[in-house]
Amino acid sequence: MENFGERLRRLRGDRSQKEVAQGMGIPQTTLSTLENQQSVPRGEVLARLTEYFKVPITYFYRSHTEPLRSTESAKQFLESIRTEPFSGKPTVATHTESGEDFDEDTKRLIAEKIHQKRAETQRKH
Amino acid sequence: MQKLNVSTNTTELSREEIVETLLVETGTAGRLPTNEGKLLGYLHLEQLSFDFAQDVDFLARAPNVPAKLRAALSLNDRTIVTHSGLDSKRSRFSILHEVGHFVLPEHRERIFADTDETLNWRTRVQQEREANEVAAELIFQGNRFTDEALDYPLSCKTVLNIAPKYAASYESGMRRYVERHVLPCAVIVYNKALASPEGSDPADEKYRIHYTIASPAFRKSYFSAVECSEGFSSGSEIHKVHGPWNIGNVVESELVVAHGNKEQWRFDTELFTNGYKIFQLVLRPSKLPSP
Repeated sequence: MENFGERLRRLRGDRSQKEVAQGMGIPQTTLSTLENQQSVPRGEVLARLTEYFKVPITYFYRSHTEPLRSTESAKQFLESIRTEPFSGKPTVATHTESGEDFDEDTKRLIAEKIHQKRAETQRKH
Repeated sequence: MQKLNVSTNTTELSREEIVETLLVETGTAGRLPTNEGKLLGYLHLEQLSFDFAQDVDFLARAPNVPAKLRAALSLNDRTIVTHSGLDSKRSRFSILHEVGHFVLPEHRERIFADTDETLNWRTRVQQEREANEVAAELIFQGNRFTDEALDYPLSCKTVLNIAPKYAASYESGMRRYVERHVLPCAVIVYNKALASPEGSDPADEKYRIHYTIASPAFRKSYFSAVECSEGFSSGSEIHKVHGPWNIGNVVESELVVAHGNKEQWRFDTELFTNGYKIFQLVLRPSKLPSP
């Protein structure tokens, strides 16, 4: 993962250190030091950087080391829908290119067609 | 000692929580690209593919049929069907979109409620958006794509390099990249204005603005969308990347956006095409030339 200085350097783009330091109202040597720094500075310096470059503080902190986590409640919910039989009216949720929907009768017909096709596939196997 | 049991109140579950748990429980978290077969297997869902135009012939006779059905989910049969004419990336997105309807509690309650009441337009649009977000969360594995992209320069090249690892289309990769980027950036997407008559010169194809997406930081400082009443023909700036022969080429370009009557912004941008649409990534305000 990139360190703080590298992420800061990227924000400057092709502008010179002198130009950016002047814009921020800090000495050029300070900016140069920051661009070679590994860790994120605190307090006013960080606030000035985020304000000048219009980025949130998280820009300097984010890393892709945080693993995804499951929760007990979501696990219980997923377990229930894995096994729960559904006995409601035959209908479908659809995904269309235009984002529009079908009327209820058409959706029922599509559901019936899926049922028929699924039965045919199972017979073949 | 007092003893309590964990309660599963589905109204308290967030979309992100459900998606993360699904990825973790199926063993797909952290493995790229996301294996949709594992997700379907875990949820006890089957997947079929058939030609909607041919096999569901009554659609052609139904009133007010929306164009191009891509996929459908039947809860009774625990089956997702995709249109056989879709390419692999679109088919994958459609399957995961239907998984979204399957796992979101409110969608199960409203779409599959035992009534003949059709969802109102606003609810339908919102639920379609939510199902798309689930599909994107599953493909890009939460913040993983966004965080990985931060290690590379703000550029179309980053999306072109990273999206294939996630088996994501360039379009969905670009959307995700900009929507979640912490830096100010935006993408303007152009599509072809009209299907060209057969035999016409591809160089004559016209484009129009299809949609704009801006990162949160960009919206605060500049704009969230742009418009233009005219189409973009051959010779225009965006035509530099027109055509399938330009897929993968990234071309730098300048863009001027008028804001009100007097002010205008000038931006450095990058253009690329996926062969169908043109994407213009708005990077930063241009440096003014020295006097």
